[in-house]
Amino acid sequence: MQLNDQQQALIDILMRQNDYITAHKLSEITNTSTKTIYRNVRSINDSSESGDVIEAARGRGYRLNYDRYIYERNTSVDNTLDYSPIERRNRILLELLFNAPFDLNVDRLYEHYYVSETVIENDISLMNKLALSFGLVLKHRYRRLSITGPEPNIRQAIRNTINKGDLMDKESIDDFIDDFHELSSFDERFLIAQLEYLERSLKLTIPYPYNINIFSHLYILMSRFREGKVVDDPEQNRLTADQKALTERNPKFAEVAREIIGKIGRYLNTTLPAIEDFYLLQYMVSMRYDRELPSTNHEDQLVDQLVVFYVDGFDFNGRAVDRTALVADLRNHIKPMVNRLKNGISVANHLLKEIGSEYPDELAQVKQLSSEAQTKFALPAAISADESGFITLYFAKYLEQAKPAKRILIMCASGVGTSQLIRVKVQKAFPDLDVVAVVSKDGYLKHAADYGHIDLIITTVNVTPADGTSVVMVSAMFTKADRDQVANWIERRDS
Amino acid sequence: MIDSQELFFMSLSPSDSSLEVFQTMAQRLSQLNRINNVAAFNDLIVKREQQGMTMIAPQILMPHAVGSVVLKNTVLVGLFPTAQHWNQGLSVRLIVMLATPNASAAQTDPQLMALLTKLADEQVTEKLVAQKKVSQVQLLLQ
Repeated sequence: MQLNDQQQALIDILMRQNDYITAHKLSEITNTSTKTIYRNVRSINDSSESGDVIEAARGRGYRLNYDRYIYERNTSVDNTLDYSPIERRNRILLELLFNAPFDLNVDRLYEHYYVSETVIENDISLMNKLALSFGLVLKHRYRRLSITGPEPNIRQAIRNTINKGDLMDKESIDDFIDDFHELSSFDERFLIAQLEYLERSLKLTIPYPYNINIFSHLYILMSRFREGKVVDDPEQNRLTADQKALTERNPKFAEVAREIIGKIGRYLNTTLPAIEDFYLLQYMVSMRYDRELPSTNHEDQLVDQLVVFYVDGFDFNGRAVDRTALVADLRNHIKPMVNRLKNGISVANHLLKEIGSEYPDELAQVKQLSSEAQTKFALPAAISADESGFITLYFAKYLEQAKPAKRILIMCASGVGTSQLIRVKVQKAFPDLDVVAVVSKDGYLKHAADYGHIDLIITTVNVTPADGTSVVMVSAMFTKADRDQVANWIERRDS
Repeated sequence: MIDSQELFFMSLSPSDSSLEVFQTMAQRLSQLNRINNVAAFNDLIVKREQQGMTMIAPQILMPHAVGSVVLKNTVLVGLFPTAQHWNQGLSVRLIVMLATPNASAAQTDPQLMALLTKLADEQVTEKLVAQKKVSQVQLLLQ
């Protein structure tokens, strides 16, 4: 329950009264009109979740339900004061964007933020710049604000503002929903049903964060048609040749998109323009699915080039990573990323901060490569920090897998002959092991420290290292049985 | 390819005594001016064998010695006409005897490494023990 000064004054008066008091009397005491009293009573009651705080009785006036008031006052969480200026601006901008092109009263917009007129003016000027950067216009007239511009720009602005405002900094759809109090449980259930329908009809699972992406896209779509007014512009509704081609390449996806948009239209009791089918399709093809999507050769080539560019450009610091697996893994990510770049879709990476603190060097490298890639491959958009963060995770994963090689000593009585032969055989059978040296037993016992940390000694002669280093005894033939012994040791060590 | 100055071949006569075979090969190394003391060299070889068999592949033995009695890295390969009964119930057809003045001389010798790489290959070792003539063994290892 959020109260402004006028409303708080009204409550204070009612608290002092033991009986009902008329609106007329209240207006006299507060020196306002009865209309203002009615409005304030209604808005106080609307903000209460447990029922009317101010009770009315015909012919008698108003009375405070004290128990309910105390309950509401204690349970309401006043978090509006915690917003930073950026969060505040983003929230107000979002409200304006959702309601575009309708205008909203400045005082109502700022009601809960308790900021001065100077701050509001400053906000408006900054929001104006933000709107312009999206190709939109922020109008300020008679203390009313509105945003106008083409629908795709409005959606893009909403998406970007949501991402920036950390509203998308969510690990699950539930978190996302929690942050949107405006979202009713009907809407929530309806939208989740659409996601499930999408997964079912395409026989796939939409992984995080793409499920949130589609969910928020549909949520924005619904809000735009409900709160704002989407201008039906025939120019914007016509598919370009590229857009048509994308639709034709993904017939099954396009069909499901059309079905879902149709359902949303019926849910909103309106007919959504056909271009909405395409907007949704764009999201669908930009996800990373478990299964490969059909694509053109040209796209594939760009994807391959980008993957090689990243993997070649990355400095692994001499660590031996499984390059083939990394390339395959990264390819599955870069492919939909290229789609996202083409379609102007952004993904939020809620791990970005953690990635930055855990893998600062890797992230910096990937960011650098991303910016070089944009120029080199003339990409349609910049690869965002969020995207670079995802790519960094792939490199981090493979770098972690490439644990430092195990350090091996090969030993025989003399360090010559059979042990040298075993070295050749060990390196052939276990290319991941780092054979530090071939040593004679005497040489090792005298200068064990010279070899640094050793994980295993493979020896043809009996030896008991003083420091307890593992030993595997093998025959000079280094037979299959000997190989198995070494393999068993590696397995035990790794587990 | 192993420098011929480092890799030598000989045929061995059947013998019941491994000591006798080692003795014969040591004398050959002495003749080639690769060791300066047959008895001392032989002692090193036998001591090494006592620490553990140097059987590197079926029917292939690699006795080796490191010491100042050796003047230069040398590999002497000897072939028996047929498989010989050896210690511990094993049989030997080919003996690859290695002599080196010190371990680092052996470990940094590229020609020796090339030979060992061949001997690490099971296909090569199988072929080696199937040969009848020294010249055929020589072809496989050079």
